[in-house]
Amino acid sequence: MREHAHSGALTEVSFLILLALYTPRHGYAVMQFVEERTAGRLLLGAGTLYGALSALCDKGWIAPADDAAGRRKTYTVTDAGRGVCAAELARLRALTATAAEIMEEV
Amino acid sequence: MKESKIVYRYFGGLLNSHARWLNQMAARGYRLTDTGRLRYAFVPTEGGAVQYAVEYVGDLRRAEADDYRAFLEEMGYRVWVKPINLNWSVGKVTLRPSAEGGVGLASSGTTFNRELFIVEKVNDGRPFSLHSTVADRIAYTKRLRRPALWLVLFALLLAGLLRQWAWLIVAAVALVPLAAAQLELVRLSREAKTRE
Repeated sequence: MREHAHSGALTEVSFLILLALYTPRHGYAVMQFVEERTAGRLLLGAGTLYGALSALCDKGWIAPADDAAGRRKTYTVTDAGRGVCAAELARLRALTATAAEIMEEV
Repeated sequence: MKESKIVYRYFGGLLNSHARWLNQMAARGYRLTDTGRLRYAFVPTEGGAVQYAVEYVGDLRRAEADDYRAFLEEMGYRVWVKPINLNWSVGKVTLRPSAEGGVGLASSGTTFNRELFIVEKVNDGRPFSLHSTVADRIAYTKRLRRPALWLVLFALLLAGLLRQWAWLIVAAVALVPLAAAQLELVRLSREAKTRE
């Protein structure tokens, strides 16, 4: 999973996975969430998702959650992950404000 | 009514060709039921009912590969484990160009003779690719390039040491997957400059 080192921006995939895990979900449910929320624009490959989940776990932004059914591995966003999401939302708001200001005045 | 089929094929490190052939078999109405070193057993099914991907896991430790396999199975996919058939034995020592972090020796705890996953998905009309973002495809292609590079270097080394033309032929053959991986990396790197 890549992050933009200088700007601190998250990749779209990382951000969407973190958002998906505001509700505890297993891998397949994360994949469905991303597909639905991007209206099918982003179809996550299982290998990409596996790598991203591992990387987010290593960073401490998500963690395994207790699964009631106990059959599939379920994840949830951590406090650190929520902090990262808040920062990303602020960054995107500033970016879209800049874009709107420039594009709409033309 | 079609009958079950057993087919023998060798693909070496050409994973795209491997996957393409399995998908052609699936399109013709054959579904994989078992696989061995070179052997593929199929049963008849509806044409295009399933899709296949071939994934390289030879650089993962055994536990990592097992965890990845469990994840893929949780996603609803069927997974077969298969040797890549690129290892060489010299006496009792087996060299693995595909080993974790480069060339290594075969031992338990590694993915020796378990270097490939054949992954089957029920066809839901969407394209089947295990790696979807540019960054992940670059990382995966680099993993594929490493054993191909080691194989070429080893074959050239042996050709020099043993003075045998046969090893030059091995090196030339191994250049094919190496060149394919390199071309893909160049293409992806260009794409990565502007897109995720």
